[in-house]
Amino acid sequence: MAPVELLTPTSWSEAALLLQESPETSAVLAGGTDLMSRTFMGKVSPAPRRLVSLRAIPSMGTIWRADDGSLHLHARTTLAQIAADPAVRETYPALHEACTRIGSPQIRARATLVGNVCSASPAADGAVAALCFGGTAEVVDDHSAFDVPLVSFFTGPRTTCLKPGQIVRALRFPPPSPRSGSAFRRVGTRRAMDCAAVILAASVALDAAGRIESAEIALGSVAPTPIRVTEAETRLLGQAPLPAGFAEAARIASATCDPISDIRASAEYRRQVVRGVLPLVLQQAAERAMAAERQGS
Amino acid sequence: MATLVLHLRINGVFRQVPVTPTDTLLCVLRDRLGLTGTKRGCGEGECGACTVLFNGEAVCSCLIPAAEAEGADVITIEGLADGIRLHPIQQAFVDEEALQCGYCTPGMVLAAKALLDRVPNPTEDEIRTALCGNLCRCTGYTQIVRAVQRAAAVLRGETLGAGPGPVRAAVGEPVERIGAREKVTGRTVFAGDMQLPGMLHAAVVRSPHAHAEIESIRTEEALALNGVRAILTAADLPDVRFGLLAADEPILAVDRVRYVGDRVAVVAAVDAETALEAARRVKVRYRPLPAVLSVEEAARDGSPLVHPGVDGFPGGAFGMELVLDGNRCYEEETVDGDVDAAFEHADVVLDETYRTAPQHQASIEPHAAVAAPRGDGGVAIWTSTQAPFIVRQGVAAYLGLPMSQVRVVAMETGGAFGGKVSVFIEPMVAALALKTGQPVRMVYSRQEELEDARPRSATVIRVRTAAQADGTLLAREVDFLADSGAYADWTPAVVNSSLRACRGPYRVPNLRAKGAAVYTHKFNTGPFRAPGYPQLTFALESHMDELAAKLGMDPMELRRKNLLRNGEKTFSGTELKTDVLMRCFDTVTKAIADDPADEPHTAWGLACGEWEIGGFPASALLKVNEDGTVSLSVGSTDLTGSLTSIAQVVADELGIEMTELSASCIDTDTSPLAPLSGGSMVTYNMTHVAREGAKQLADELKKRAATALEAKPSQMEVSGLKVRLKKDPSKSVSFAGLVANEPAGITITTPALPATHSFAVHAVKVSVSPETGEVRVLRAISALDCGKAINPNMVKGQMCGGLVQGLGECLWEEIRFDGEGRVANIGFGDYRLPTAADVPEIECHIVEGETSTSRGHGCKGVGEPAHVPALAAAANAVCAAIGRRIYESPLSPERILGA
Ligand SMILES: Cc1cc2nc3c(=O)[nH]c(=O)nc-3n(C[C@H](O)[C@H](O)[C@H](O)COP(=O)(O)OP(=O)(O)OC[C@H]3O[C@@H](n4cnc5c(N)ncnc54)[C@H](O)[C@@H]3O)c2cc1C
Ligand code: FES
Ligand code: FES
Repeated sequence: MAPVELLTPTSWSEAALLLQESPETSAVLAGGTDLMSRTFMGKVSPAPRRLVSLRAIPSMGTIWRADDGSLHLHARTTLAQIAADPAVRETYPALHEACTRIGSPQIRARATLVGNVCSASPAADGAVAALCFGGTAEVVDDHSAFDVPLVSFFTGPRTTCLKPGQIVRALRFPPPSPRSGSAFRRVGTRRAMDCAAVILAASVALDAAGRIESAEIALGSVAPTPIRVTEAETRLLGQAPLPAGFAEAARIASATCDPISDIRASAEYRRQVVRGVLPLVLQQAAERAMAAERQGS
Repeated sequence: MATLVLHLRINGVFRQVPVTPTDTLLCVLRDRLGLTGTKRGCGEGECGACTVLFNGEAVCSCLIPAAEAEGADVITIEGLADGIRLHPIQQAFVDEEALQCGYCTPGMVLAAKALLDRVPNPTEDEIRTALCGNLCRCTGYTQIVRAVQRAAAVLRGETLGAGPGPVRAAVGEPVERIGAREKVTGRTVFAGDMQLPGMLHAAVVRSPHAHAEIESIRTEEALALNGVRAILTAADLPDVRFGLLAADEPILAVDRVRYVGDRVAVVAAVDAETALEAARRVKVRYRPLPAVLSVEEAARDGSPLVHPGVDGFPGGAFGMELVLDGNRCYEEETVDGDVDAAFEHADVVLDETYRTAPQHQASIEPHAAVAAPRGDGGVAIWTSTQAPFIVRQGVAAYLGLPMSQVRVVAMETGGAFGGKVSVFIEPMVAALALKTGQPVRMVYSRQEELEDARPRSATVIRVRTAAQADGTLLAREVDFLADSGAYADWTPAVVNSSLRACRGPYRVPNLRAKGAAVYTHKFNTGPFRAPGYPQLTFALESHMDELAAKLGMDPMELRRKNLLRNGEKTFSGTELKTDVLMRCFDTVTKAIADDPADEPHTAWGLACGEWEIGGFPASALLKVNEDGTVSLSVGSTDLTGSLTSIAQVVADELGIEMTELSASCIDTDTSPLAPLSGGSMVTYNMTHVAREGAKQLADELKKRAATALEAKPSQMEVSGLKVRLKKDPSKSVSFAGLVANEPAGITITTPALPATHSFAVHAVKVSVSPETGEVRVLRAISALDCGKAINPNMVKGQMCGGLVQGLGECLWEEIRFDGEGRVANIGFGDYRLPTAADVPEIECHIVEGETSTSRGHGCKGVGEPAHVPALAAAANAVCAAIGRRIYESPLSPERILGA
């Protein structure tokens, strides 16, 4: 059944209260691209009866930077807006690339990054990219606001740590270090409009000596949720950004992820792709880091 | 349900619309406001047919809850033109023949507008990316991209060189497609757009089991639902079976269901939601039975029978009686020459087995039909079909009505490709209309399309070939197994016609070909563009590449050595009058030679294909109107632009303009009988009869004019709606004058033409990612033997669309079943059609000159041959790029990487 009511509260707390009234069958509506298509296809169970739209809640803006340099993306900020933002493209290339590759122009015009993250789909491109920038979700309920780091946001396939009545107001990303770079790659069949078989994102920061100071590797479609592969990340620390190290990290990532076989790909294919493609993604991220360093100095 | 009032601006006008909270913006536009130019192809954001401009941005209106549109500014396709003056984008779509069925067109035009509003001078890549959310199944996108480029130039104020523009209605000219303007403006009415007073909506109760006995059906709870008008089960209908070839399929399952999605009951209610809810409340008790899902297993003795206790079925629409042998519903073997001896003396023998997946026609318009009861106890049906006369026959048979009481009007089809030949949706709406006494509409959902349409059969094809060391082919054996699904539908014909083409367009002196169509507990498979041939050609042309490798020969050389030459016999019994096949081949191989695939993991693949264009007795009506203009009526549905080509031939013959000719098809009550539109037969046969008719009409007019001018008919000619003296054109009589006292018109029928052949050669260049197996199609070339291109734009449209469908079949498209026989693809997200961003421009080479005997200037059909070798060519490219053969389509990244 389709939803039977759509409410448009004008404040976060009102929205939170409306959601709490019937927690089982209420849902936040952002761009609606995920929620509406999945409800239509009978994939949401129980189907939401009440949709609480975020449309009428006043916002501070769509994309803005705080004094500490951190990037803020509002709950209603669309993928198209993020994709068009030169600063995001410059500083968070993996996020930019993810946002330009999701769905079609029609989807990106409506879909939000926060919705992508909250959908908690294992194949959410934006969530995977967001994971490799140390992002934080700013959560509100009817009386308070608090932070949840994205690494502890996902709890299972299409489930998050949000409790009924809790809403993500914005995503926040710390400014990347000056010698860092990131890269993104999705692997699927079609070039466009394709729910990816494997999603890979990485960000790499180098120290003054050109060694890897920090590395964040996030994967999608290879586990019940978008994941970080910390073992593989740790393996890179202190190393020179060289192919052998990247290949080793990819081997670890491939062994530690936990893919399933479905209509899009088999588990074995997914592991193989992680092994084959992650080195390339890390390489590109490292090259961008080196380029950033050259530019900075 | 609570109603709310929505305030929004649509096409510049403020509107207040009462809506229900379940409405999407798409429902508001189509159902509440009657703006049916915005189409529904999926309801899940995947096809883009529902694209509108929402505060200036292209969005999918099917994903926007109505209430979210409060205060919005919405532009639909209806809001683009200025009165009857088309918007430059619409005009460019018409000029470039960037539309065929037109179902995707409104969304495509609006997506293009959103792009050009932002980027006035986009690159081809930017255009393809911007249109990737708008699926088109017909055009292959090449002409759409050109149209957007043309529109961009016009909008930038550039003056264009001589474009298509208005041209004379002569044969060989790119005359504008009949109905193009309606399509670009959203005014074309498709069956699903029809709205009749008091119309009810239908929904189907479907089997969740692949094979089960129906123990009981309880409808009380469903009938009790407010708004439900009728529920029918098999018990309410005559016990009749029908089918295209044989009469083996009931319209609703009798006692037993044979596939997941099999139709068990059908509901009519006041709105679609209620009908669906009622369908959910129909309680069916099943006793599940063992099912057989694999064609090879089904062919074995002792596997569960799909039609137990039956040894045959009588003929259906095409009168083919079936004799069953287990699950085999059709078997055939043909032998020509001494095959065994040839194999014994061969230097090289290759023996391989190839498999193809079931593929879906996937028209963007789903199946849709409306039926209304008539005063005489009969029924009128408006439907999306390729075969209105077969629909009439089927409905009459199923409901026990005389044909005189069944009127079928073929609406514009929003894509068909063979998928709209079989008769299954119409009898359901017709029965409901008769039961309720009200009009009833049924529109399949995308999921129903995937579960209960008539896709291309999966095949298992074993090929054995014997050759001499120098590459001369000596003999071949083929074993062709086709998965028919639960009913025969078209599959025996798939087997029969495929077996005839097992040589490929080559000289193979000895052949043994056998094949079978086998019932399984899956949806029945039916006709899909060149039924059987893409599968067979995949096997044969993969085989040729492998054979070349085994012989240590260049695959092009092996082909060149064995291709049929001038004077040789083709598989359809015709004799080649020219070296047309070699011309097609040379054109393509030259293009390949000019662009060698030197980069790593990159390769060209090539394949040759053939098709037989059948003849049928054809008829047409022509009459002169009071003002001298002419009306033409034919009984063939206009699928490929065939009506335009037919009209063009008539206009050419009568020396009149397209605006002076009205052409119409088809209403079974008034149109002359024609067989189904398919198999590339329409243009071939119908231009023949139409030209003959036009000639006779001209002769009649000349005769009358000759009398008036005291001359001989042979001294007369027609021109400009007049008959005049050849020698002294100032002496003339107008058509109008000639019919003032005595109407002039003719009905003409011509006997079936002999079948003719057509060839196509395709080449595809791909690069394959070694890490992922992802394929990028870099170039695609098509050369086609078409006799004479009556309208080159439309021939190109078939070539581009045909090739791109083949790319989809090769790389992305596959209907998959889970272990229980349920279709595992959920919507267009899991059944992936090529998007504009996935395919390159299709390079078309029209090869004329090997004309047919059609009096339509020797033209041949092009829709099927243009598709036949595409899958094979792309597969050969991929296999060349990875240096390894893949024996199963589609060639998914996984198979490429892992095989
Ligand atoms: C045709 C099509 C193609 C697609 N392609 C892709 C793709 O390539 N890659 C990809 O990753 N995704 C894809 N998607 C999925 C979807 O479009 C994206 O995930 C999108 O970013 C979701 O954003 P939205 O604003 O539309 O979310 P919505 O649909 O509005 O919401 C998504 C979910 O998050 C919840 N939610 C939304 N906002 C909040 C919030 N602020 N607080 C708490 N919960 C919230 C909702 O209740 C819902 O459960 C596709 C969808 C479609 C229909
Ligand atoms: S109907 Fe909306 S995208 Fe297909
Ligand atoms: S013209 Fe695009 S779907 Fe038919």
